[in-house]
Amino acid sequence: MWTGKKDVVSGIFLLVLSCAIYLSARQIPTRLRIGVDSGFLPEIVSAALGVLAVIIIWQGMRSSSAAETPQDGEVQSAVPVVQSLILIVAYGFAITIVGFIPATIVFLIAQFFILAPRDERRPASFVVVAVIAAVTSFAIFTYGFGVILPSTNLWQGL
Amino acid sequence: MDLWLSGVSQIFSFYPLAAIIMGVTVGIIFGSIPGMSATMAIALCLPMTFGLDPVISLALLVALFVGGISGGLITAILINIPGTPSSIATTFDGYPMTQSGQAGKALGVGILFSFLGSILGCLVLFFLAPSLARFALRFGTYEYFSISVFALTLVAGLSGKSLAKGVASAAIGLLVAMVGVAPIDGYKRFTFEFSQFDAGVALLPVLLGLFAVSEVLKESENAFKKHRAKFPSFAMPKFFGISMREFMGQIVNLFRSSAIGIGIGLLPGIGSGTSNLLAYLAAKNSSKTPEKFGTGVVDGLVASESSNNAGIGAAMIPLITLGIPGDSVTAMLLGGFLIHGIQPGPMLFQSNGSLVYAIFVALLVANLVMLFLEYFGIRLFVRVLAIPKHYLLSIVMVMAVIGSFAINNRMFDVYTLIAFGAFGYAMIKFDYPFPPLILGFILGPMIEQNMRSALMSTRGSFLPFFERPVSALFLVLAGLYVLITIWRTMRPNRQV
Repeated sequence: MWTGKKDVVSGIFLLVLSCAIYLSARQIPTRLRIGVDSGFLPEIVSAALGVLAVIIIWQGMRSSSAAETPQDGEVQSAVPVVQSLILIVAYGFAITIVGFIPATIVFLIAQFFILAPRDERRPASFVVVAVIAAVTSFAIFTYGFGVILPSTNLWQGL
Repeated sequence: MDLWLSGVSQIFSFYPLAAIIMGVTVGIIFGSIPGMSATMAIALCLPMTFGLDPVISLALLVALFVGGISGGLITAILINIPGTPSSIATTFDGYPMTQSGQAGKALGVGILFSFLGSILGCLVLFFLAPSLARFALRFGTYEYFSISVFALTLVAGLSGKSLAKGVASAAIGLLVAMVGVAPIDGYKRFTFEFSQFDAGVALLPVLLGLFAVSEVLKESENAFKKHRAKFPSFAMPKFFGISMREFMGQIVNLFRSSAIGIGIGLLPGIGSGTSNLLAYLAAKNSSKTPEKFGTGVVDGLVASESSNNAGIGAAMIPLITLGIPGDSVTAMLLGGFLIHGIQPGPMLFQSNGSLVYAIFVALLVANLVMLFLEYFGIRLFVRVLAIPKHYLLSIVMVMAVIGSFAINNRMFDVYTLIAFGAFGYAMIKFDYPFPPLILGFILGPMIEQNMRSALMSTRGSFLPFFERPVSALFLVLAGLYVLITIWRTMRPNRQV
């Protein structure tokens, strides 16, 4: 995305966010007579964020008027990012359903496929590394550091 | 002296020493791999410290810091890619030395002067921190508020290209810190009647999301590219590849560069990413043969590596004496202190002096371990660096999930991690710096608590903030810094 456009988009997002926070902060009841209550700092900071958002939008509008060209390969590089993001979200939910070890094995294999260059995709190695990494990290954290990682009845004892 | 002896006895036992060796090793690996950093290493190892003794935990964390900063020189010298921003200037002369068949000498010199720079930084820490802590005992709510605002302003202004974006990032950090029960009156803010938010947003998922998950997402962009680098063959020379005559010739350079690293390390927001470049420029400007810089001279390498490592000890000074971190790495270390219920600051020297001196000893030992591990184990590290990045990054993601879950044994923190990972990636794409957000998030409660306490005692008047000299000084400095930055931003436009 162009630099100027980026600033305009992010500035608008921050402006909306700051307005929402400011309005929410205004709902905080005043308990102290001098007004230095729980809503005092959120109001100041959200208002300041709003002002900064306007400055960022203004800077973005100024710089987008200059000749800019989109960078090459942005669409292509976005695909694995979106895939990784979807995968981590799915992994977060899968842990509670199937337990840590199976979810981690599947996550790691899929993540290896996303991140590895095409000519370095070796399914057998991926499976071996994923199993070793999942079981080892489970063992270290559970037995070494006393962290109880999620596991379902089906997979308990692994 | 008793405190020093206590520190030595606490560190020189099996577990703290094992933690230091492990910390330095992991730190070097993270520091040497581009895209990974000391910050990420500390964030990932924080969950391991939950059940450990504070001395072992903090020894591990400072060892990660030392390893993470010094590890950057390996890839900088061998393949011309700095592992961390603190080793950018190392590439200028380190890689030309590799190209001319002097990789072993470049590594040896880099390692030796990293160690010496680091020791000089530690000495400043040892001598300055106790006196500064004694002085800081006089500070009250006004001073802490003003110093926090000053640190936040400097970090916001210096972290990115735009002051507005840096300050916006700090404001977001402050707002995230306001989620949950408010200080003083205990009112629940921005919880949306969701009980998981009552205790606020946990520190670790935010740190791991911003520094680990977002980095993995960023690296995903390069998934289609081949990124396995070929490391040249080399042999490590005896005595670090430097003769006594050459060494004596670098003494002035060592002290000058370390002084730059220490000065910059003391100030919030700038960090070793800048100090190595400034030290390199200073060495070049004061050289009789500046034209040789960039062609593979030892002077450039010494300047870069001694300055970035000297900043380690200096960066610890505001953290330990005031409880105020100056950058992301020290913010992580603060997280390590807080996890164990230890609040750094001037009172730490009174209440837990033996722990402070144990940290000092751990820093010295970590530097010695770094010297030996890098010198004798360099081939092993190069072999680790050859592991494909898709394995390392995917496992980093799993470690981040485990780390977030481990704080409170709840999935909510894992979802927080993912949310901040995505948010962090968006920040990278839209050019918003992380350090102000992290510092805003960490300093937020301190700023609010001190500001509200002070204003309640003055019945809402801001005047006393300017009547106390230290408080006034820092507020004026923060204001001046903002004005100067705005003036410098506007100036080129006038010329056009």
